[in-house]
Amino acid sequence: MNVHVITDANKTAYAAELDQLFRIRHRIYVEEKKWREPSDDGRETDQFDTEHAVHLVGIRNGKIIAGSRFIPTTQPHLLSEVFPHLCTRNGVVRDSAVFEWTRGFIVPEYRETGGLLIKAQFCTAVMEYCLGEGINQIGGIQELYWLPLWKRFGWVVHVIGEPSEIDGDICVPAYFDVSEDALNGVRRRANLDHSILVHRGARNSRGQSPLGLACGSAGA
Amino acid sequence: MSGAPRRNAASDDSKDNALMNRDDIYDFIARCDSYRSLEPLFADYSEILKSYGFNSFIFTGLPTHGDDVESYVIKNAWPDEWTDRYREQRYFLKDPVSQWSLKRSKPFFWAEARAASLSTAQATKIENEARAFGLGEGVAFPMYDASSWQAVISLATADKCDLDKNSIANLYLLSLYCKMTACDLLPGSTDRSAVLSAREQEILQWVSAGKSSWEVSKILNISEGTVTQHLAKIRAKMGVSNTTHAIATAIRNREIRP
Repeated sequence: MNVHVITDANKTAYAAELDQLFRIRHRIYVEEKKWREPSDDGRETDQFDTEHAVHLVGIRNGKIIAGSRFIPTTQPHLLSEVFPHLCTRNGVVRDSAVFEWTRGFIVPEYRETGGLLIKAQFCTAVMEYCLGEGINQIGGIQELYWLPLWKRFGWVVHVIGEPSEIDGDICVPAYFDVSEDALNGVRRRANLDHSILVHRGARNSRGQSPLGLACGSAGA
Repeated sequence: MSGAPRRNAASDDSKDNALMNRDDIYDFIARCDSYRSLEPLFADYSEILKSYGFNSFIFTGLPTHGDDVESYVIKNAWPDEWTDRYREQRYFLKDPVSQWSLKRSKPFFWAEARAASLSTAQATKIENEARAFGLGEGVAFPMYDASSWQAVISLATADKCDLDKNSIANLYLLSLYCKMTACDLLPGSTDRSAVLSAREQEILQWVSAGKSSWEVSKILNISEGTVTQHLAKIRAKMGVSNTTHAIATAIRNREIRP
């Protein structure tokens, strides 16, 4: 599996993969989890899939088997728009170096066999991506049963609010520190000795985002 | 003052209590990193549970294949007498609440497990006896985690257990941190992938199947003294004092099959 970074800047090169991604998300978040109403075109997108969203997709043999979406917390995101009342510690985080992580999945076919290894490999790519981008923390609303996994990766978890039942699952807002230690911890679990992160085409430059985004989103 | 769980929806001051208890839980989470052994962790956890009206708890890994639970228990704060009775009568296999813990991945009230199970005379007897020990009702938090051993933390109260959803969520977070911290502190729970050698695993596997040292020596065609030496080394490696404990730990670490 390689994990590809898809941003507004290189989305045309990944048009087919993005289409595949949104169809898989429809299968998982609409048909399986029933979080959202079915969409006519069979693609699941929401108000946060904007030019600011970064998609990391794990591809094996031309097929997407895992994915996640990242949004800077300076932009509208799930915690700020839908669950701000759960951020009871110090309020909603708004920081250009803190990204929200949502829509994380592994396709059903890979969950039983090797699901944990794929998860660890994907998370290794996530940490590597974040380190490269100068992101300090990632996280968001998540089901409680994920927390032991982060701990096993050696990740430092900050619970920033109240646990609450959402669609039958108890969830909590929490962020993880991005660090070399966090990367090494998950990499050990992932059995990886090389990077699987792939940047292709133009890159969003987070530091100079007005210019970078303007170029990347021309005509959008 | 009543010992009843106080954060039920009907409570007038539930909001104030909610705020107070929430901080309790965050503070506990912050303290978790500082614990170097299990006892102070459980003492701390226990105190917070009391503020929610729960007088005791049990924290255990979950056996498979109709095994008894005893060798999987991490912390048992039940009254001793009840523990003895539970073991002697092999209640684990008959108690609807325990049996639900094996199947559920989400928090549940003991009352739900009882209502959903066959109402046998045996189940009623267990419930009444538990009640007499002040463990009449409770809530259980299965620690479902695809990547590690299964566990449950079950909290007991002598009074009615009708917590609202927010309190359940808070207690679940609290209990999860207790579990995660305890797992880090347990012997053999470090990053080592396998503590035991293949031979040691093989020997322990046979012993867990009820074979004596002599029998194992015949099966593996080695001397009985060698088996005994291996077992001593296994116990030393795992930092446990008896072979039963070594078996429980090895199962938990997935070094041998249950």
